[in-house]
Order: sequence, then structure tokens, then C-alpha cells
Amino acid sequence: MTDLLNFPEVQSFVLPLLAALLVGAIAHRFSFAQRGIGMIAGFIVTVLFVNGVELQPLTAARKIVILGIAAAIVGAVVDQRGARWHGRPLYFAVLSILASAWVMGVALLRKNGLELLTAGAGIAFYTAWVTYWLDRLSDQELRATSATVSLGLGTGLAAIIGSSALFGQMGIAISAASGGVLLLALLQMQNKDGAGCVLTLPAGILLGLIGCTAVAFANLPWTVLAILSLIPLVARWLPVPTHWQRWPQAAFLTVSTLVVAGLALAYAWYLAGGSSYS
Amino acid sequence: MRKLILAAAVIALPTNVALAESYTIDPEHTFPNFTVSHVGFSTMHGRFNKSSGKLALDAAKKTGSVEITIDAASIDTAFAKRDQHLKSPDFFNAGEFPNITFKSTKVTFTGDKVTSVDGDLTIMKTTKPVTLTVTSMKCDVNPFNKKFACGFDANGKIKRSDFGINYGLPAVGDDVGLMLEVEAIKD
Repeated sequence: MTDLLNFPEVQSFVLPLLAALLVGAIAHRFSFAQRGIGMIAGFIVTVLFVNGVELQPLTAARKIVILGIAAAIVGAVVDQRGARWHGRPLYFAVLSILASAWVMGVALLRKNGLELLTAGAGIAFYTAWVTYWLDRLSDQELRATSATVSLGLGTGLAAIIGSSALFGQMGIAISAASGGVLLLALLQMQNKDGAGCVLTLPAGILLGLIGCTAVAFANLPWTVLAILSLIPLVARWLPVPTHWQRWPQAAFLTVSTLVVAGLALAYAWYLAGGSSYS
Repeated sequence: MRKLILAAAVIALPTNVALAESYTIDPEHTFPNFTVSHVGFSTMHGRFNKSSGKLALDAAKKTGSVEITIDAASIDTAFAKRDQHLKSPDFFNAGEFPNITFKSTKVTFTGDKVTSVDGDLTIMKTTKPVTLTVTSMKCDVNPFNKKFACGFDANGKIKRSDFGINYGLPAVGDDVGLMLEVEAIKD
């Protein structure tokens, strides 16, 4: 059993999926949070296996985990209060820029001049973009979870191609856990409030920052992130026939966004020279 | 009285410093090398290509010190993709922690020869004591550049998990062999 838990596939796919199903189902049954809370629960389970509970030294990866949990708490509070104020996605995007400054600031300050400016602006923009557009999806559960499934998988696998298994496992865990929430959305009653900020806010900040750190600290070309950034847009605007049942709607949205993730991965693979090592 | 003590200190200070000869690491002849087991099949060799630092030696007093700073991003295992992975947060996290440092705490002499160097090795902000066994050492004029230099070979062993480098354990070995080739030119 212990050996089984050492497999990366179990740590970053099976366990977060199961945790998301369990926590999401309980949250929905007892109404203490949106079932989207399952996403962060699944992510935390993976982090416990991959990184443990240590916080020192406070690396970018550990800061990202802290921010993800904090974002989930903020998201849950916003959901509970039914807060849907005008400009909320923009507000969250600004918060994500502050988060990216905390995570990347020390490494960025080692750069100088134009390099500092372009890297800083790129990181801030991508994190803000992902956070903004995912929040715009928070009231549409199928679209939001399809987007986080695909963006998580795309970001995770791209990070692995870019030479970071750590960020890869974190991204894939978000995808698997989002998949758990998506399954619950199909199996349980429809949620009139959508996926909620408890899913979209931490997913946006986590996936934005994981993508940026994979570029900054591993070897992922930023152009791959440019392709991945289209996923929330596809999830938002892809026309889906409203007379379809929820299952085919979810399948259509997920497959469509996965195609975008696939394009990003094919491009990353091509840029990496198309080979791996072990 | 205070002036007298101060004057004595000023006179004494250069005398002490003069006894300890100071050297600057020659980056062209200083390479920290390492070995690690690859899944038990073979022993992989690698090295860091950029390092800098200082060395001090007082043969009369049988004391000395070594400080080496290694550029983590200069890791070289003769395979670019693996080097990229080793620089990533899975291993040395060179983007966040660009330097690996070694600072000696004790230099042990046997007769006139340095036989071991105890010191603190810091990787990714984690510091652990390491003992390096000096296998050879020579201080003399380099016949090529006519400069006085000191050089030594040393080896030691660490566990990478002690420094939080846990990726790939236990398939990729935990025990890491260290082999340092160091040369330093007298200031």
C-alpha cells in the first residue's frame, strides 16, 4: 500500500480525485461550502505527499501552496456571503498580481533592466489573466470545471516537459481534483450558484503561478503559456446547445478545452526537441 | 592607557594577517564534482563549472580556512536535458537559490600536510556539516604562469535528502559523493 502511494500517478491523479469527490460531496450535502472546495482539498492531498508539511525554506512552490489555500478560504467566504460585486474579477486579478510579486519577487530582483521589466510584466499579466477569466466562469459550473480540468492538465504536463516534476504534479492534481468536482456536478443536483469562488479563485492563482514558475525556474517557454491562456476563453464562449443534457455538455466543453491544452503541449514538446530522458 | 592598547592592537593586527597567506580560487582549475547512483545501474558523474572563493593558510600555526561559492546553474552532467532538470525546483532550484556555499570551520593538519577540512555546506538555505578528506595538496610556484599557488584534492559524502533534495528517491541515490579539485593563486 505504501509503495502504491509513492507512485506519482497515484499522488497527483488518483488521490486528489478521490479527495475532491469526498470533500465536495460532503460540502454539497451539508451545505457548508460549494462543492468546488473539493478542488483545493485534492490539491492539498497531493502537496502533502509531494512536498510534506515543511514550509522552510520558503520556496516559490511553498508560497504557491500557501496562496492557494488562502485563496480558497477567501473564495469560500465570498461564496457564503453571496458577494457578486461589480468588478470582482478585476479585483481578484489585482490580488493575483500581488501574489505573484510575493512568489517571484526575490528571483525577479536578480534580473536587471529590460529583463526584469518584461519578466515581471509577463508573470503579473498571465497570473492576472487566468485569475480574471476563471472568476468570470464562477457562476457556470460546467464551464468553470472543464476549464480547470484542461488548464490544470495542460499546465502540469507542460511543466513536466519544461523539466519540473514538482510543478507538473501540482498542476495535474488541480486537474484531477477539478475532474472530481465536475463528476459531482453531473452526479449531484445542479448548483444554481455555479462552481463558486472557492474553486475558481484558488485555481486561477495556483495555475497562473505554477505556469509562471515553470517558465522562470524550469525550462518552459512562455509561448506555451500564451496558448494555455486561451482555455478559459474557449470555456466561456464556446457555444453549447442548451437542449443537450448536462453530460454531453460537460464532455463537449472538456474535450474542446483539452484540445487547446493538447496544442500547447504539442508545441512545448516540439520546442523541447521532442525527446525525454529518464 | 586606552591609546596604548589601541596602538598595540594596530601594530599586532598586520603581523597576524601577514602570517596567514591569502589565496583566491582559480576558477579554471577548481571544479566541485559529484557522483550519484542512477537506479543502481551505474554511477553518474557530474560537476559544477563555475565556482569562486578564498583560501587562507598559515603553515606555521597550522591553521587555515576555505570558502567556496558554487554557481548552482553551472551544473554539468554532459546531457543538457538532465542539466535543465537538475537546475529545476525538483533538485537544486537554481532560479531561487543560485549559490551553493562551503565554509570551513576547521582545517586539520597532520605534520605539515592538511589532511581534512570540516565545514558547513549550504544548499538551498539548508546548512549541514561536511567533512572533506584531503587526499593530496601542494603549494608551490606554478611553472606556467610563475605565480605561487596552492591546490588540493578532497572528497567527502553527503545525503541529498538532508538538504531537501528528495526528487527521485530512492531510485536515484541519496548518497552523493563529493570530489573537489581546487587551485588557488596567492594574493
